[in-house]
Amino acid sequence: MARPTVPSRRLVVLLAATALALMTIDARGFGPVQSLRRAVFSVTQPVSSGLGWAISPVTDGWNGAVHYDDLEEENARLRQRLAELEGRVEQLPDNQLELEQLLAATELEFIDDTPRVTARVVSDRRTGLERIVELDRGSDDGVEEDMPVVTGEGLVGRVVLVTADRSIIRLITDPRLSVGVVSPASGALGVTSGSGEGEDIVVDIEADSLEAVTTGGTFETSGFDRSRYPGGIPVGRVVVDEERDIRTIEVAADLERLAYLTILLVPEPG
Amino acid sequence: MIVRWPIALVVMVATVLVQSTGFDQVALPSNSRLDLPLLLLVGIGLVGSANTAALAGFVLGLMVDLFQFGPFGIHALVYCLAAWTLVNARVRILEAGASFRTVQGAGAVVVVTALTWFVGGVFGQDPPPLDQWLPRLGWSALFGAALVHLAARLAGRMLTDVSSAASGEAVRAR
Repeated sequence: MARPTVPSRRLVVLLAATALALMTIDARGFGPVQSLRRAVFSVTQPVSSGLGWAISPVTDGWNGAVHYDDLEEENARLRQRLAELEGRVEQLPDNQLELEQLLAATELEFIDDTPRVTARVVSDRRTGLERIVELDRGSDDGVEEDMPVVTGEGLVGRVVLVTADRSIIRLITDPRLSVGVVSPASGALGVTSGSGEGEDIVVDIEADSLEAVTTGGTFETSGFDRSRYPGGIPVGRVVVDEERDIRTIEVAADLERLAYLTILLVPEPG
Repeated sequence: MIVRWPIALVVMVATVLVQSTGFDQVALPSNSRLDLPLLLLVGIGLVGSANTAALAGFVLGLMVDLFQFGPFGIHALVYCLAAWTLVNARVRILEAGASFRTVQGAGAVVVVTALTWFVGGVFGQDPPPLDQWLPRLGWSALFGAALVHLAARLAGRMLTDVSSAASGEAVRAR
């Protein structure tokens, strides 16, 4: 085979330039790219669901084998919880029990009358560069892009793509997600930014309030500045690293095992 | 060499769909995973010419981008550069026979994986933490070594030699 010729170099430069142009256009929020993704997601969703259903016994079995230790731990926790509920179990029909468990998982003490919809996680996949969580609720249920997603423990992330009956969310640990937060104890304001999956999120606190923030203090969404996140949603506990002058937040919500989530149907600030 | 687009597009869509539906959800230690589109890309780089590999890599990358939610075009950029580089590397350095292809596959998958993480990190994505790099690259190398022959065969069906295609048409015409 002959060595690559000049035209092949020209072609690869042209393709690379096209890719960079597409990335720039996307970064500027060019609508058609998002529309194209939405269309592809809608069109392939039935095929994906069918494929997912067909191979789920294999993937579930494999994941169970690989995460056997985690499952044992989870099993022990659930047995303990079951023992606590034992007295009540006999009084409840099966479906009511399941409903109660679901309500407990999505009970939001920090939100009063904000409209909400509970969603089931239908797919939780990790690519080499991001984690993509898919929920079984979409625009038919009133879900819109940028709406906050929470559990009973606190903020999980926000919706980034919606079709009629599905939505994709971005987790709070994603480097592309920032949230305005406040410390209820000291009033210190800050902005979080994700550091990647499994990592604590970094919080940038206003200079005047740095000394008021100590390890163990809680942070919640501030709800300021036309934020889509209502105020008062728990975000997590702060850890102050004096040596490196960094403040991080241990996320309150358990992001490892997501099963049911609540989407807050907050309208876009006007 | 040219791309047989009908076959290529079907193979690419199927690969990306199976990846997003299945293998992205299969946990391996250290969050490693089997990356079918990446293997297909390496296959394209090992059997294609510079032009076809770059073009097919670009289109494959665009499809991956459509099924993910990072910057649109990031995989297209990485895949077209990687496929073109693979063709060059194959021609200049590694053309030591089919038996050497296993090593080629492992090395190529590792290099493209690392390149994807690097470019992803530059463009605000979330590459894996440092402590996961070695195990994940190790798994990638293993998959690359094991499946590169299959990937190259599949890629071979997506690409065809212009001269052989022309002579085939001439034979049929006679």
